[in-house]
Parts: sequence; C-alpha cells; structure tokens
Amino acid sequence: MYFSTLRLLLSNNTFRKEPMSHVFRFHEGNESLDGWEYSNQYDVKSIAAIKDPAGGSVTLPITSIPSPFAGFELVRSAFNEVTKNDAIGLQGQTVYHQLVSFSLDVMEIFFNFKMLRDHYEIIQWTRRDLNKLMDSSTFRQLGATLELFMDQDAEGFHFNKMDSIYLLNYKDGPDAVNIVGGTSPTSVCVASPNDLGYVETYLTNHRAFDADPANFKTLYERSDDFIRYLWLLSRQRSFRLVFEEVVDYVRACFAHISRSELKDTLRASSVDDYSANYEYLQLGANNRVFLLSELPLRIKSDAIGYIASHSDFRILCSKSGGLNKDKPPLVLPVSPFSETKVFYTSGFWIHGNVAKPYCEEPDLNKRELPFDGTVYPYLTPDDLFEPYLIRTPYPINSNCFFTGLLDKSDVGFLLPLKRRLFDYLDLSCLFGMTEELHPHRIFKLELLAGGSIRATLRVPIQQGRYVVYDRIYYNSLDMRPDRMKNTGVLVDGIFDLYIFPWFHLRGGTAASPQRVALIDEDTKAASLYRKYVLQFFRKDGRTCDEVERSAVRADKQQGDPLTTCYNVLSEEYDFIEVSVGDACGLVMPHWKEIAEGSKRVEVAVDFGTTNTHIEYKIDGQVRPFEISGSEVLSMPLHDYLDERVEKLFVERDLDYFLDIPRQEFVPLHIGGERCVHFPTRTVMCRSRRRNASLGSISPLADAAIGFHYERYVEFNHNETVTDLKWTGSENAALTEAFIEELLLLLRYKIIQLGGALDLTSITWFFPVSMMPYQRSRLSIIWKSLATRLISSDCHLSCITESLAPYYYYKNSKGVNSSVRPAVSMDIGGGTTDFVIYDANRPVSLSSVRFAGNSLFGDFYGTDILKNGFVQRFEPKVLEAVCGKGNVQNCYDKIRRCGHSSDVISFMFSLEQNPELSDSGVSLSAWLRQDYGMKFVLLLFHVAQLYYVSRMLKARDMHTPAYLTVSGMASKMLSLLGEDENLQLLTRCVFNTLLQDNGDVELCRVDNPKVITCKGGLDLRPEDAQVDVESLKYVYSGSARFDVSSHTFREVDQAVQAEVLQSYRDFVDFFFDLDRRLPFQKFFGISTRRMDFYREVLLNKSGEYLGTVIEERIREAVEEQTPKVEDSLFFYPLMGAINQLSYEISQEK
Amino acid sequence: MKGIDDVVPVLIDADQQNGDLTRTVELLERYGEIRSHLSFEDVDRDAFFGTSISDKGMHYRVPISGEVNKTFGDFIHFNQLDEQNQALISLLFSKKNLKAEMNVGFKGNPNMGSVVLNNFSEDKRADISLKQLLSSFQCDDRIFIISSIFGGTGAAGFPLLLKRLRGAMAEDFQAAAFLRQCQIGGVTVLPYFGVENSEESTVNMGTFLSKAKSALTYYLNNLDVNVLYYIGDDLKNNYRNCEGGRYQENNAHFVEMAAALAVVDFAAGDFQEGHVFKEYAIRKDVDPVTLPQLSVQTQQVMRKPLMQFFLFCEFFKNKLSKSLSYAWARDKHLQEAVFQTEPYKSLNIFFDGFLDWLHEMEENSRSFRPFDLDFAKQNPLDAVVGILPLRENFLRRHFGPDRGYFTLLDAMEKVSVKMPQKISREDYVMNVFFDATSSVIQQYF
Repeated sequence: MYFSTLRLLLSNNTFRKEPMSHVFRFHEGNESLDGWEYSNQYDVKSIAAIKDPAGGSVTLPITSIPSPFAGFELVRSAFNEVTKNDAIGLQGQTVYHQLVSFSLDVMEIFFNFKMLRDHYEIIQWTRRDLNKLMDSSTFRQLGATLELFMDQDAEGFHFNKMDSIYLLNYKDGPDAVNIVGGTSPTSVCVASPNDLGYVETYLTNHRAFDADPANFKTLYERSDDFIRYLWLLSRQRSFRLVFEEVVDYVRACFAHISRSELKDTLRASSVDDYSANYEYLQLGANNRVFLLSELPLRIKSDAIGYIASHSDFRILCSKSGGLNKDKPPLVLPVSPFSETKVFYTSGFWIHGNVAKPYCEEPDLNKRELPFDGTVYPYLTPDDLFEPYLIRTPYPINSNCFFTGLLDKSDVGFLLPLKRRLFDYLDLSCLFGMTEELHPHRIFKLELLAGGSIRATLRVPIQQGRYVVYDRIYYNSLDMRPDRMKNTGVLVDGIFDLYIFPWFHLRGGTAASPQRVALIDEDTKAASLYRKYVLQFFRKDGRTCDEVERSAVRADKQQGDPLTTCYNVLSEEYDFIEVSVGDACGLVMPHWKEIAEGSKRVEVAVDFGTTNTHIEYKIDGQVRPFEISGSEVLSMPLHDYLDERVEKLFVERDLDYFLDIPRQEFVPLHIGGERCVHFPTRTVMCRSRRRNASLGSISPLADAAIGFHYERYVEFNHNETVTDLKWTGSENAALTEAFIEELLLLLRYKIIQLGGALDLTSITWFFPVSMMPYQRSRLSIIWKSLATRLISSDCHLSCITESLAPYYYYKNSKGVNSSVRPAVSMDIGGGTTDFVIYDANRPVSLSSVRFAGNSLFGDFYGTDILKNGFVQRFEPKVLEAVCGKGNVQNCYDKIRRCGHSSDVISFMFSLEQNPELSDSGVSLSAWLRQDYGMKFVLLLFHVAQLYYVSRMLKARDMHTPAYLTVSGMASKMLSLLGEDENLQLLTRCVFNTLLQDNGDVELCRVDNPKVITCKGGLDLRPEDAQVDVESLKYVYSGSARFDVSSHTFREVDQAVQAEVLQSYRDFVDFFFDLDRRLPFQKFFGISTRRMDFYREVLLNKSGEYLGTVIEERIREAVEEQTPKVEDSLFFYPLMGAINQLSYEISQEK
Repeated sequence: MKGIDDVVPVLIDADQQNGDLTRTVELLERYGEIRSHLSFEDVDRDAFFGTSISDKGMHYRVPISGEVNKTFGDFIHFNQLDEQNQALISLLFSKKNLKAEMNVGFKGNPNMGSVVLNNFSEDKRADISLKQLLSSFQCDDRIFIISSIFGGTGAAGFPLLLKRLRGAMAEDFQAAAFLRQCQIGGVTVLPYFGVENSEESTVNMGTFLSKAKSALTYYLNNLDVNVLYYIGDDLKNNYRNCEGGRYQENNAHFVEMAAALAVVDFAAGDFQEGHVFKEYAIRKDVDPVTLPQLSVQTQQVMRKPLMQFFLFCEFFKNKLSKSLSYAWARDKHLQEAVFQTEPYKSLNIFFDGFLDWLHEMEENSRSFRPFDLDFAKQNPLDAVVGILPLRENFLRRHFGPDRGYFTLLDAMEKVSVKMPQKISREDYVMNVFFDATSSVIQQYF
C-alpha cells in the first residue's frame, strides 16, 4: 500500500505542492496556500484591494452590514475607501463620495449651528432612551438588539467612548420630525439614508445634501472656515484615537488645498486653537454636546449672534414687536463718534472711524458691516431720511401734529422720515426727548440761512447712547438730492389735509370709520400734473389696508381750480404718508386718546323736508348739536387757531383750504353765531362729475351735507340736491348718505362728550302724511346705520313730527289739556300737522299739504316771475347783496334753479348772514312793514285756524284751552302781529265757528323748528306709542266725501261743487272776520282793495281745484287708484293765495 | 469525520419556502434513515455514513421567524416610539427600510435582519428550539457557522447568532459559560455567483462586491470567532434573480463544497487560543476544476472517500442486480427484493442527490468535474477525470466495456469472505462495498 501510494505520487505529481496556487479571493496576497490554510484577516488594505467593478457607480444604498448601526460603519468605510483606494480617490461621484460629502455636510451644519438654529434642532439620544425601550414589552426586541450590538461592538464602533448620539432635526422638512443626520462614534457624523432633497440649507459654497453627484464636495472644496475647524478638531487627541479614518481623510485633503495661505495657517495652528477659537455647543444650561465622552463638540462662535447680543450700536428698539428682533440693526456713526468705549462687533469703535451715510445694498440683511465685513444689518442716514422735504404754504398745527420744528415760521414741513424707522421706534419715542443728562429732542427741524432746513434724528442705541444723523435740505430749485453727500432738497406742496375724527378711541375694537380730506391747490402749470397720494399706516409701519374708497370730487386736471380727494377708512390709523412725485413725507397726528364715556345721551333728529335739526340731552340738559371752540371733530393740517393763517390763505389765494369742508367735508365749526349751524337745510352736495354708476354713496367722500347751502357760494364742480325726503328711489342713496353723515357726526360728538355709544338713544321724526312703506324704508336705514355707527344697543324710536312739539309746550311751557283740549299746529315747509289733545293724549290728527311752500312757493304752472314775494322783495335783496361777491353768487345760483320756495328761504337767511350784518337786509322786517303782503299771511293763518275749527267741530269740541304753534313756517306768525293780537284772532275764529266764548292761549316760540327735537327728547315712552292711523282725520270740504276711503277718481263734479262751496264759505268767513276784528286795526293790513282780493280768491277757484287734483293724480303715478290723502278744502286756496300774493306784489 | 462524535447541522432561514433549504433537509433525513439501519460496532473501522449526524429532534432547523407579514416599521412599532428613539431609528434606517414588507426576508438588508432575527427570546418556538439545541452543550463542543456575506438572512444571522452565543446569559442558557468560551468557527462565503439583472428586484448584483466589502470591514473588528474561513470566487455565472421563496433553487457550486470542507478542517484543528483566519486554494486557476487540481490537503481529505462513494454509487445504480448471482450476495441471500426496502430505498435517493450534486457542480461555473459522469455508467473506474488507473494491473483480468464493474465485483467477492459472520445484513452490504471500493482504489490509483 505504501508502495502504491508512492508510485501514485510519482506518476501523477498529484500530491506535489507547487509554489503558486489559486486562492479563492478577490485581492492579491499570499498565493502559496494549499487547501484551507492559515492566512490573514481581510484587513483595511485587503478590503480596499478588492476590485469592485461596480464600485464606481453604485447607487443602491449599501446595507449589507448585519448591524442596526450599519450606517455608521458604512460611512467610516466610505472615508476609508476614498482615502485609501486610489482607484476611487478623494474626489468623485461614487456612493462613497456621497457618503463622505453628506457626512461633511452634517458636520458643517453642526459647525454652523448657531446660524442655522432657526431651521434645526438637536435631539439627544442616550443610554437612558435605550433603557426605555428595554423596559417596554412592545419595544424590547428593538432595544435588546441595539443593546446587543452596542455592547458586543463597543470596541469596533467606539460605543464605549461616547455617551450620546445627537440627531439633527430639520424643522422645515415635510414630516413632523425630519432627521437629516447625526453624530456617530465611527465617523464623527453620518447623514440620513433618505432622500434629503427637501433640505434648503446652503453652506458656504453649496447646498447641503445635494444628491447630484457633480455637487459632492470634498473637504478641501469647502470654506476655509470649516477646513480650519475640522483640521483643528482632527488634531485633538481623543479624536485621533477614535476617528482614524476621518483623520486620515483630513490629512489626505490637506495635500489638495490649493491656497497656500490657508495651508500656512493650518500648519501654524496649534492643538489648543480648537478650544480657543470655538465655543461649546450647548443644548441647555448644563447640557453640553460631547462628540466623545471626553471631547466636547465646539462650534463656530456666532459672530452674528454675538453682534446681535453685544454690540452697543444696536438700535434700541422701543417696540415690543419690532422687526429683526433677533438681529437688531446697528446704527453706525457717520461722523467721528464722541463717546468712548462703545463696543462694535469684536472691539470698541475706533474714534476716527466714520461709516458712509448710505449703502448701495438695499437689503439690510445683505449688508456687510464697515470695518468688519460680517454680513449684518445696519442703518444709514439714507435709510431714515427722505431725499426731499415737503414744505407747506402754511404753518402746521404743532399742537395737533408732530412737526419737530423748533422755530416759528409761516410755512410748515412734513416729516422727511422713512417709514422704516417705525420698524424699530415707537411714534412716542420719536416725539420725545433723549434720556441724557441734558436732553435733546429725538427729532427736530431747524431753519438755516437761506430757507434751508436741517433735519436731525437722534437714534437711540444701547447703554443710553444716541447716534446723531442729520441731513440738510437745501432751498434751491436747481439742486438735486445727493445721497453720497447726505443732502436733500426742499419741495413745495400746496395742499391741506383734514382728518376726521382726530382722536382715537381708547380700547376701542369696533370698526371706527375715518375720513381724510386732501385738498390740492398745486395748480401752477408746472405742478398741474402732480398727484398727491396718501397712504395710511399703523404704529408699527404696517400699511393700513382698510382704505375702502377714495373719492375725487374736484379734479384740477379736468379744469377745476383744485383737486379734492376723500379717503374712507374703516379702522384707525396712526400716521399718513403723503407722496407727490419723488417726494414723500409723513404726517404724524398727536392723536387725542378718548375713552368711551359712560354718560347716557339722548338724541332727537328732526329730518325735515326743508330743514334738519339735531338736539341732544346729556346730564339732563338739552342742547343743539354744535361744534365749537377747540372741540372740533375734524382737524386741518394748518394751524386753524393761528389768526395769521387765515390772512396767509387770503394773501396766498388759498381760501379753498378753508371753504371746501363746508360743502364737501365736516365743517370745522357748527352752530353758535356762525353761518353753519343746525337746523340746516336738508340738502346733499355732490360733485357734478360724480360717477353715476356708483351704487352706494359714502358721506363725507362722494357727497356731504351742504352746510354751505344758502350761506356760501357753491363751487362750480359741485351741485346740491334738495328735497331729499320726498323724492323716490333716485335720491334714496343720497337720503341714506345724509342720515349716515348725521350719525357719523353724532358718533364722534357723543364720544367727545363722554357719552356711551351703547347707552345712546335716538328719536327721529316722520310726517303724518308719510306712507307706511316709506316710513319702514327710512326705519331700516336708521336701524342699520345706527347699529353700524353708534352701537347695536343704540335705542331707536320714531315718532310722528306732529306729536313732538306739543310735549315741548306741555313739559316746558305749562300747556295742559287735562281740563279742556289743546291743539298743536305744526307748520312745516311741505305739510301742516294739526293734532287735538284731550287729557294730554292725542285724539285727532290731520296732516295737510298746505304749509310754508303753499305760501311762499309756486303754484302748479307758475314760476318765480309770478311769485308775489320774490317779485316784491327781489329788488331790495339785489340791492343789499350787490357787491357782496359770495352772497351774490349764492343768490344767483339759487335764483337760477328757479324754485321760489328756495329763493324765499335764502332771503330769510340773509339777515343772519355775517357778510350782510350791517346792511339792514331782513325779509322779516320788510314783511312786517308790508301792509299789502301781510294780507296773504293773514289769509294763510286764518285758513289754518278755520281748518282746526272744522276738526274740533267734527268731534263736537269747543274752543281749546291752548293752541301751540311750531314748525319753521310758523315763524311767519311773528310777522303778522303781536302775540296779543294773534291770540285775539285765534279766539275770534274759534268762538265764531264753534259758537262759544271759551278763551284760548296761543303758545309759540322764536325758533319753532327746534322744538320738535326738544319735544321729542321730553317724550315719555307711552307718549310715543300712538296709533297715528286710527287718529287720522281729514276735513275734505265735502260732506259726501270721506277722504279716508275715497280715491281721486271719485272726486266727481258734485264733490267738486261741494268743495268749492266750502271754500266760498271760508272766503266769506274770512272777509266777514274783518268786521269782528278789523284787520287794519289789529294787524295794520290795508283793506283798501278787499273787494278785488275777494274777486281774485274766488275767480278761478274751480280751475285751481282741478289743477291740484290733476297734479295729485300725476304724482301718485305708481298707484292705480290714487287715494286722496289730504284735504280738498285747501286745493282752491293754494292757487288763489299764489295769485293773490302776485296781485298784491304788483301794487304800488 | 475525524475527531467528531456527532455533527448537529442546524439550518437557520426565515425563508421556509427556500428550495435549496428543503432539498438539503430531505437529504439529511435520508442520511439519518440510512444510518439508522447500520450499527458501526467496530469503532476503528472506516465506513460509509460513518459520521453521526443528528437533529436533536429539531428536523435540522431553528424555526426563526424573520418572516412577518408586516413592514419593518410596524415590526419595531416605529410610530409609537418616543421622540429620541424615533430620531435615532430615523438615522439608522431609511424610510424605504421602514416601509419594506418582510415576508420575503430582508432582500439583502441585513441591517434590518439583525433586528428582526434577534427574536430568540421573543419568538417562543425559536427560543425553545435554541435552548433545546444547546441544552446538552458540553465543555468541548464546538460551533461552526456557515453563511454568505452578501445575502440577507445568513449575512444578518451570522454576527447576530455569534453575538447571542458570546453574550449568552445563564438565565437564557444552561451552558452559558461554555457557550461564551467554546471554540466557534465560521465560514464567510464571499460573492461567487451573480444574478440576472432585474429592474424590479432589490437584489442587485452590482452591489454584491460593494456589500461584501463593507460587511468585511464590519467583520474586521466586530466578530468574536476563533477561526474565520473566507472564500469567494469570480462572479462567473448569473443565477435567476429571485428575492427568495421556492424558486430560489440554485445549482450546487464548487465554492460551497470547499466551504463544507472548512467544517472538516475546523473539526480537525484546535483553535482554542486563536483568532485565526483561513483561506482556500487550489493548485491552479482552472475551469473546470478536476481532482488533480485540488490542493494536496484537500485531496488527502476527500479524494479517496469521494471516489469510493462514487464507485459505490455507480455500481449500486447500474450493476447491482447483475451481481446478485455472485457469491457475495448469494451466500447472504441478498435477492433483488431486499434492495427494494429500507435503507436501500433511501440510499437510492441519496445517490440520486449525490449524482445531482456532481452534475450541478460540473455544469456550474466555475465547474468542478471530478468524474466524467456520462462515461462513468460504462466504466466508473476510467471516469475519474485527470487520473488514469494503472493499466498493467487493470488489463490483467478484464476486458470490454464493463471491466470496471468486474474489477470492483472481484474485490467484493474477495472482501466478502473476510466479513465477520455475526454482523447484520445491512452492515455486511455496506462494509463489503466500503472495503471493495477502498481496495480497488488502493490497487489502481
């Protein structure tokens, strides 16, 4: 057997060991093995030597490491691979390069953590967290596995040299928690294996975790800062022992650094520079981040953060919610800074250093600090001062607006400050003084020689210091602003503002309507096309986006002599930016802060056909609505209390600044001895060029109450609409706007008075003849407007205007109907209301359209030329107003519109016109002395008394104890005669017609219009609860005809005949009265042509009756069967009285 | 196997459907069946099926449950973790990992496997099995772990199992102290085949070497074995790409045989003090590899047994019935019907497996071709590739195509008469073949 074996060996060489063999492996090594033989471990070198044909292009994540901590090992081997494997190299596009690049990205994020902390947070994982897993049955397997590997691989993975793993959570990522990387005991850091394309972090020269292989970055391609850091970190003893692969990598990279100066720096650095140059990364007060148990992780000290927390030049934000809170901008001296030891960025400011007064970079956050280079925001004078300073042709009211102007001047200046300042400073800070031992104004404007202005701003910085910025604005037409030289130029702005209201409601949260009027008289050829634009801002510089509407009424570019523009805002604002062309300036009102008071205010609004009046009751006192003294509601920019200003305006031909508000805005003053007062004409003034398509009308913008009407000349661009109440839907919007304006005025008046909006009650009046639907329409308007402008709790009540005056007399003048009845006669412009009271309750009520306009106005088919009163007194009026430009213009305008009632109304107003105060013009006086025309007044009055008698008779009543008279037209009673005689007349008429001899007391006041309001305010709630409809009575003049149920179609010949008979009875009665109470004797009325008058009154009575019936049918065009609403009895008289007054006026 | 009383093979695979796994278990069971009919009373004699292989009642498997109908994230209850642990897990595992369904193993993600497979104490079956397996672990017993480095389960399981054993606690294992101290060897099979490229598959051949490299780096410092055997080969053949399941039935490969030889090497050596590494070599880088190309050491270990078993196999399969009229069978009343019963039924199947194995290795690349399998049916003696029988002796007695069989039959006749009388019929047959094949090989090779 031995032999054969030997032979076998010899013959086949089978067992001869050959020097070379084939080993089953992938790398070169000892090749003389035989079968399974001792060899070496696959070490780093041999692993690296394994030729991996796909290694260069591997994209799938390599997850072959049988450990949960595979990723840690993977990155370590990647560092090794790129460092040791020449075929792969430091730079490349393989998965190894990606792993290394991403790991460096994570390191760099940690390094820059202070700058990136807004976007990242660090989550610390410790053994304690592992124990939590072990303690839970749910997580035990996971915990046990982690523990197993951490214990068993403690050496290989250096788990025994670390205490925590720190995980980077990217706060801006798609998921709740987005871990992008963390520390690792094998390779310093590792990145998450996920697609991190969502990370928007830009490191110095690349985007972190950019998966594009072309953008993988080696260490030497990164910032010098980071290279220096990692170089120093890699030289720390514990680091070297643990992160060998990273150390090798860093060293390999060193050779590739092309910048020799950086290499020199690295060579010259010492190990200790790591602790000297970088600061600890802290997670909390006592929680420092440790890369290894003995190696605290230091990171780049936050230069920006340091400046943001240490520089003495940081602006002292006086606002809690200021911008750049984490990076307050620096305010750097632009002239040698006198203060010493002022800390700048890393040391004290050097005395001689001056920053430039401007910076080319507009974005503060991109600016590089001078003498430092850190990108950090700072401010320059050019950031805070405007290039132009806008000069107004009048002094600005420095009590109400912040001007900063030290000197007295007959011009004013807007603040040449940019809004940016208020990102940091409170308005109150700007208005105030420095807190120095010798305080200075924070902002001031000084006049220099030649009219130039120096603006100075002391910007507060840290430690109670201030940096002074100033800019000179030259008074020169030829100069241009120069930001490099820090100079500006003055520019004239010929405009004025009115702001309404001019106070803020303290603690008010409700919508607070605001109006701002801009009056632009910049109409020189050169500036005709300049447009003034207003923008409104809140304290923090935020734009007030509540400008609801901006209405232009006059437009200089359309040929008007000025431009007026009205801004409607629904919320309070703090300041206004006025811009015109390149120039911009701020208007800063010193807002008066008014807290809403607690007083109850009762308001009565008599919204009449011709006139409107408001009275209110506060603290038990009843007063008319007035705006007087310094208690203005709207505030002009000009100093309205300075007497010089009015003179200046006249001199400089700028009267519009004073005149415009009367017809387009809130008059500065209302009431008192002035022309503008309540009662005022019920009119709205609007632009002729109004936008017809405008659905709603904003009062004090699109239109305004024409307080000027009959008192001041109306501008050509405006037109005034009268007769608001009775016209149909065409003027519905104007009616609503009128009421809205009244309520706007009331709102702020109440606040100013210390009233409580919630406790306010408003009573408004309606005429008896108003249709229920009209009343309900008005009621809805009142309700919605009062809810919006006063309060949802505002108590509204409406009452017929006929009832209110009686209660005035009852409560103020001792009138009482508890024993015998009393009659109230309210003579308005359009209607006269008669109410009979018995036991102080109304028992009968009648409203007829025979009132002031029937007396002074025109009859159907006649015009002003046939109006006796106009014809009679016009020559005298013309004589008086002649040469009084303003009044004359007014008169001409009203005369042109052709309504006699408006002309007469104007004529009556003249005696109160201050322009004519010493001219002796007085229609009242003329009438009182006119024996002819007074006849008509008497006829008018007796007709009404006659009608009352018919009413009383219908109820079988006797002569009343009182006759109270009210209404605007009741003024004419005083023209007729003395009270004593009027009372005789009244008694005579009643006694005769009612056939008794009871006494009657006539009660009347000088200003009858206001007593409706006064009566309304005295009303007890039960007095207002009257069913008007059930009390209505009409004396038709025909026994066959019951007005309440008949229509005009039923007014046939027979009815007409009866009416005419009743009329003739009245005429007879009237002329018969002269016998009982001679007109000549008691009223000084000429009775010379009595027969002719009778003839005039009776001549065409049938014709007049027919005309009025026709007109009534025509007016009620919307009704199929027009109902007779008032008394036919007056119809013939309406034409006759007009005709008679004309005839009398023609008498010599 | 020399120096070994009992081999306890344990197959650990979460993928219970794996075709290769079921094939292997079947053959192991056949081996046990055959062996159960044999007595091996003479402890000094060599014999076929002489090595004791036992399953300790576990059917050669630890039923580890890596196969879960869940995603990995659900398995570890990711969403219920606290912030810190969720953050850590987010760093360690990708979203893709967390969303991966695990019912087909770990698809080459042993980092997940390392968590999922670590359920010996959580999964009761696995726990009991492993405890049962190791309950009788003795002081001098050894453990050898075979795994590939570039796969899924094995790659994950090897270090995990190792860590479990080295970190064994008395409360888990009776023999914890022995386990921590015992000799443990392992063979790490590096890539030796590729897979067809597939767009859908997460198994990508391109990463095999990259994966192997990073795993090797991990092994560098984190593997506490006494001896580690490395083997791998150029990626010459692409297997069908499948992520697991019953279709994963790959042809046997020379590298696998060489890896199996590491077990023999480990059994024979003493690595108590060591922390050593071994690699495998053949004489020349050839393809196909033939017996003469194997290293001297390998030839010493396996050439003769392999040839013996091959001759046995060929004779048994092709000429057994014709030989039954000869004295070796006739005297013992071995009729045809006897060979239709156990253990011969199993033996027959085992031979089929043996021939499949040889066929597959031959067809694989790199090919291992010890025998010319086509020619062997005619004359197994002349079928040993690269080694010719000694002619002069050979020609002395027999001519014609069946001369190899007759040479073996002669030897059988000779050895049969020397057999002790009292041995069982099964022991008799097995010993006759063993001695005959042994004598033929000694005589002619």
